[in-house]
Amino acid sequence: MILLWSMEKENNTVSGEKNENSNSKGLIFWAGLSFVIPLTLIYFYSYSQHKISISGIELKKIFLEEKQEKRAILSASTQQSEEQSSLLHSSKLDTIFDPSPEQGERNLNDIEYTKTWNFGSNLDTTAQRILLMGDSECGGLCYQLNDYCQQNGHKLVLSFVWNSASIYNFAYSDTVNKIIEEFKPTYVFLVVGLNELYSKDIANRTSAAKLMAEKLSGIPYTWVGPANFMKDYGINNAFKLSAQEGTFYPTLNLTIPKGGDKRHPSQEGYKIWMDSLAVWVETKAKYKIKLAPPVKRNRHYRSRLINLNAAEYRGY
Amino acid sequence: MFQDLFTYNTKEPWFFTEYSFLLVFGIFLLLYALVVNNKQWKKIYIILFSLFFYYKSSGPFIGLFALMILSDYIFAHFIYKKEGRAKKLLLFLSLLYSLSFLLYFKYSNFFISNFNSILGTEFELNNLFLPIGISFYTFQSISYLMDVYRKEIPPAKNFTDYVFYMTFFPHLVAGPIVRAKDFLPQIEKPQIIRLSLYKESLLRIIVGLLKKLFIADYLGKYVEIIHQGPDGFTGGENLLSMYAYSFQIYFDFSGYSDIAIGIALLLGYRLKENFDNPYGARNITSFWRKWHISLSLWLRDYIYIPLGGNRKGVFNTYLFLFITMLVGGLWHGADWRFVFWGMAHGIALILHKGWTHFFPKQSEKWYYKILGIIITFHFVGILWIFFRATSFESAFLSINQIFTATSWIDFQGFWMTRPEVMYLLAFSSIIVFTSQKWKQKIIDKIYLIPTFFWIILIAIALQIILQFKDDVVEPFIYFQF
Repeated sequence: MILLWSMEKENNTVSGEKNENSNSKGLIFWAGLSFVIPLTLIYFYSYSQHKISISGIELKKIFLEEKQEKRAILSASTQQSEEQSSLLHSSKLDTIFDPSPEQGERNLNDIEYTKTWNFGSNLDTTAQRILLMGDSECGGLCYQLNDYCQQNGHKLVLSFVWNSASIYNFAYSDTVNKIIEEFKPTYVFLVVGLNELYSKDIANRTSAAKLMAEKLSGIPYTWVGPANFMKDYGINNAFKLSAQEGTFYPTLNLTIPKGGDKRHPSQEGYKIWMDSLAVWVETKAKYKIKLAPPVKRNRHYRSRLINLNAAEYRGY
Repeated sequence: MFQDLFTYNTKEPWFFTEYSFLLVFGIFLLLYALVVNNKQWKKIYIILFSLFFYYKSSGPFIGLFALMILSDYIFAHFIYKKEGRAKKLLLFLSLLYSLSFLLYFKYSNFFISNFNSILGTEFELNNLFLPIGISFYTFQSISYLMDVYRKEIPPAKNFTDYVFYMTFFPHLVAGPIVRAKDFLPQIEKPQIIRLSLYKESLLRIIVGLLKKLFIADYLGKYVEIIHQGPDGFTGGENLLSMYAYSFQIYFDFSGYSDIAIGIALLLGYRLKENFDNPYGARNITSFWRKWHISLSLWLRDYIYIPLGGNRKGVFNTYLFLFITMLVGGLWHGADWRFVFWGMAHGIALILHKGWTHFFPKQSEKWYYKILGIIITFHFVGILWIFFRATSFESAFLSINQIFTATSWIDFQGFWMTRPEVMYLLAFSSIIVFTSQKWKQKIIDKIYLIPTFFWIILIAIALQIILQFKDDVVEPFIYFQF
């Protein structure tokens, strides 16, 4: 305070030549402190384990945690991909599905999903009541899943297409609960993420994804990641970490042809996607169900389909 | 951490927006207070910090920069002493030498790829990394040599002064392009740092940080999404992306200039303003007097006027204007998109000059003013698409979407799905279209805040930025030029 007082005095009085022509050292020193004190506090807080909230809003840190977490994820995924790559190299032959005469042909795109997880081979071959829900990509995938359901004796009870929806819509609304309550599915496919590939509020979306995973707990499910035509900022990782182990199918590894709008897969793309997903569900998923490739494609779609738009109906 | 602080990291070069820089800058100021009243020590202290700053931003290219400074200094002294043909020859050699670095690092691949495509050759492209700020300090070097040649200024009194002028870190990596004749006299007679100057400089720094990290970076995320594939988005989304980029580039660059001016002021040196409410311009000529002023003036003084300016007839005036803008476009980047951008601005300036020739009196009616602002803003905005797009094709796709696939429904949907972008666009519009008079009134109120509370103001601003900014800070757009 003495420093400040002398500084103000020095600047507000024009009492002598020395004052007129020399800089206020105190003022420059104070300017330095104006940066050093707040930044030291911010760094100190960022490195500490404590979290401070003001009116319920948590003060953010200088991303040290996220940087460390990202590095950990990056190093884990690099390690995992290296492991996968070596396993893939040694086990390609095992993974080629041998189609029975009653089944269609498998797409060889699925080879890369081998050896990711090993939950045993408890394939549930009973008929399922399947619920497919998700964003607009679900609107293209439902016709392919319809073919698979008819081939394998499952009933596609509902395709719930929520255009432009994000994880927030699914997690924070009771729409999903109501649908599950009404249609009583025994297996759920959730396809979400296309509309949030560029989102960087990963922490918030991870919370929503965890809530969504909780909603689905008790029902066997597979969470299908979005078809990535462009890089994402971590939403796939957030979903993968939030879903139960072995329930997240990372579509981003697939090469899928684009549709005319350049944002969604083409018809051929949806076919490739569904074929690959089916192999993964049968062989690698935590909840394996029978999804043999259909002999006949483009069957008549007989299931219920609900089409909503998040721009008009947010759900919360 | 401390080891990282003193080494150059290609993935994390130093920007003014890095909190680590601001912390080190704060410490630098604490020590600066000790040497501020000793002219020689002050110069040396600032030079050392500037070199350290450039090393943290560009690493080994500091050697290249040092070489350019040394050669310019020597050339300038010879140029000043000589007369006649020897003088011209020396100027030519010195300019060629200064420009050679820029030509090699920035334009060699551009020439090779065009050469290959025209003649069908297969010369390999160089794997080059553009030294940060090279376009800016090369232009500064040219202006110094030219001014000495024209005898507008004498060469720097001593080597220290010239190094100080060239390396002064606030303007080093992204301008404003500082002229020796404006800056060298200040070295001997810097401004006295008083309370008003202290407040002005801190406010410039805070405003600059908020412009860059709070507005520009956020809008940049949306722009990036659209430009990944503009034909996959509606016309409305493309149109909003055009607005978003217009604001992004303004807040990004003017934010940088604000920080640079603020930092320089704290040290006692005043850099010239680089922006003057450019989107409030009523016509394209006025826009170029308000946008990146230091570059516009440089182009005028070292290209347009030496070519002949308006002294050689109407046709030549227009031709020189066109060439000047073409060079301006090429300065921004070695790509035909920038050449096209420069040419389009050149044509617009010619058309406007022609218009004022036939209609010299500008209407002062308010609706004409607004109409002029709207037309100018949209013209500039459409050309920004070429600046931002990844290719010509992508730019035309975006423009095509705007003109053929825009409907009111797009905006309703957009409002529902991306309200935060709409809020930010509205907020940005208010800032850029509000007159300077009103802004000054707000600034005057802020200056009334007592000195002690400025530290709290900075703390709040830094934490607000942290609350809203992304974990990935985009480099300043003008760092690439």
